[in-house]
Amino acid sequence: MDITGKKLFVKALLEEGVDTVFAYPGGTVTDLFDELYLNGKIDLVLPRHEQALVHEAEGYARETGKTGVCLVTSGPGATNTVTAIADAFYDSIPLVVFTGQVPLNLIGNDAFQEVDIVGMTRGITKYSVTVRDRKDLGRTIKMAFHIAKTGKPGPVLIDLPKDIQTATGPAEYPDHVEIRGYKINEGVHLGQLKKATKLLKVARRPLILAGGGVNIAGASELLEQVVNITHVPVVTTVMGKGAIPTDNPYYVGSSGMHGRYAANIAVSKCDVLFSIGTRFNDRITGDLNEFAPKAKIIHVDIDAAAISRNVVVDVPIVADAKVALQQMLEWVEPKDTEEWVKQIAAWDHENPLEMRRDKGMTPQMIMEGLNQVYDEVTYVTDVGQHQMWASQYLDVNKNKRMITSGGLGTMGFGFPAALGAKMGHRDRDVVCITGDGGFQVNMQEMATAVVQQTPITVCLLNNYYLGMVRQMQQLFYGKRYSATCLRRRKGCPEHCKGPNEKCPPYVPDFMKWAESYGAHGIRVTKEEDIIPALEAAKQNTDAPTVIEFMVATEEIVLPMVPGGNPMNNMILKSK
Amino acid sequence: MKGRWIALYVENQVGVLAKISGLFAGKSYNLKSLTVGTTEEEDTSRITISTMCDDITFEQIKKQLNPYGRGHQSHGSDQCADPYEGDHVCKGKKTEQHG
Repeated sequence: MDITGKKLFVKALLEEGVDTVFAYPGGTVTDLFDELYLNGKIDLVLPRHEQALVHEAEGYARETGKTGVCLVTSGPGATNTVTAIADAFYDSIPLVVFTGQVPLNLIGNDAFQEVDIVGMTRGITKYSVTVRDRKDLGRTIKMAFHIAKTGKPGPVLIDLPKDIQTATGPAEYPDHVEIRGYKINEGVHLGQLKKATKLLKVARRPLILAGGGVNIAGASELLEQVVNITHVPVVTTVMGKGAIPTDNPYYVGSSGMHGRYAANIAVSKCDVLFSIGTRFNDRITGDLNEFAPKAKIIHVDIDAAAISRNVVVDVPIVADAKVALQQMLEWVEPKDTEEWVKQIAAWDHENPLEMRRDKGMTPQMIMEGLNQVYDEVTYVTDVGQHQMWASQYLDVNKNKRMITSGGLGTMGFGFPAALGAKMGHRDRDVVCITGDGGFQVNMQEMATAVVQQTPITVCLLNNYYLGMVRQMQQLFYGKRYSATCLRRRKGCPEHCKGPNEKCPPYVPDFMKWAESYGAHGIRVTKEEDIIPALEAAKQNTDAPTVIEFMVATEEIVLPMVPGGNPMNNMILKSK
Repeated sequence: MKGRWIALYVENQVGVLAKISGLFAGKSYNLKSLTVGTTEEEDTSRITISTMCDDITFEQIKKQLNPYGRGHQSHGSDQCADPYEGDHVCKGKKTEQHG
């Protein structure tokens, strides 16, 4: 018996095991919303903006390992999702985004709320398509879920014209789908992997560089086993943080633009670099000509196109991180790396992460506080200075996860993604670490947080600035703070010399703002209040808590490799 | 830098040309010529691409085309006069020296 498109849509979601849809209604999707309402089995989360909607789905997907499902209307609903879809694409988060579309006969007419969203998102999705025939609907949805989750995960967009939703057609939802040309690398080239294992074995200064792919593949335990046997030190990317517990004795720290000194020097000096699940982003490599200049480079990645794109490698291996590590585990042997590990420790001793105690409450102290207060938690960071401090200082292991926006670096990611993570695991503590800039990009989501009863803790590090850009202005542009001061008003002098007692008050007052939503607000100005505030927030289970930390305003993230420089060229001390 | 040719067989679907040309534009690959048309199998189109690039970029282009093609193999040849090799998915004649 034939059924309508909307009925098949809901049936498909249920068969895919979808329990939550992040959804914002509008003219071209009212039929789908009506069907979801009548069915009643799927939870609808109504956010306050479609960008935040997709970030919530990202947080949910990262936390649960499931595919995040989004439903928005055509036109502005669809265009608002674009930033967050790009974010998911760069960080390989599986999403299926359904957008409404005007009826088929109006497509191309510049109709009300019509945009070519498939065209717009072609470069930032694994697959995007408009369903033009009702009979293709089931197969297309099946394809979407399959493509989003398999291989290197990512977002898929399905554009659903209004008349497809109401047209009748086949009721079947296929249980599997064959896609010509879409091949997933399920195995691993044994010869290449053996070669890699041998290289590691004979190396004098071997190093493992672990990226986000290790976390996505669920291969962190395997990596730890390999490391515990071989004693090869590990550095991670920002997305790879947690690929090995941060307290493992062979974990050096994160490498890259704001990486740990010892980690970056180790990359520069190693003779074999075993990199896994990273695409060698420019934030990790710096000047490509001087990246790991002495090393034979092994590169394991699920995406063939990621290999030898940025860094030309000696041993390419196209494989899932888990498959590769599982196989390696059978071959690896204990290795004496003591001297090399000692050398790295000496570098770390030479230039440890800087922690100032003379400038009042610094952001680093808050990270230390979090390490003390939480045993089991999901941290979700926004983008900016606080994100780098989080990736430098936070303890991450089996019980403490970290979710962040790495590839696209989307300010406004943190708060909604934290809410999505909480919706995925309601019994788990979720802490959003954010700055006053990034938080304001999506702070309308406080309404969503309150109505969805997601009592998360927001650690809002307020330094009155868009700190990461201000840091660059501070270091490279003669402290000309062009459009980075969030207190600056029309009446301020044209050339500001930095913060002083005449500065206008900050808006908004986050405490009154939180209160207006029925959320909790705690303002912290002194170091000794950090832990009591975190403990108090942990007890609030009725509504979210915003802890506003009034941190030292001109603090900068160090070390720092200025863009385009080699990794061993770091700024280490603030002037 | 050398002239190269790629014959790509793709699903004959709306937007497939935009996908491929968008890839070349988005990744700043050189495009000398691009032709597209259906083959004798209705659901398959052939895209013939001429590009100018070095070896590493050429490898990249082929890898990038793999998922995009959502279809079939891409074949690269260093010289335009070389016949294409490998199994073509459609039975189109291996003809004609391109260029």
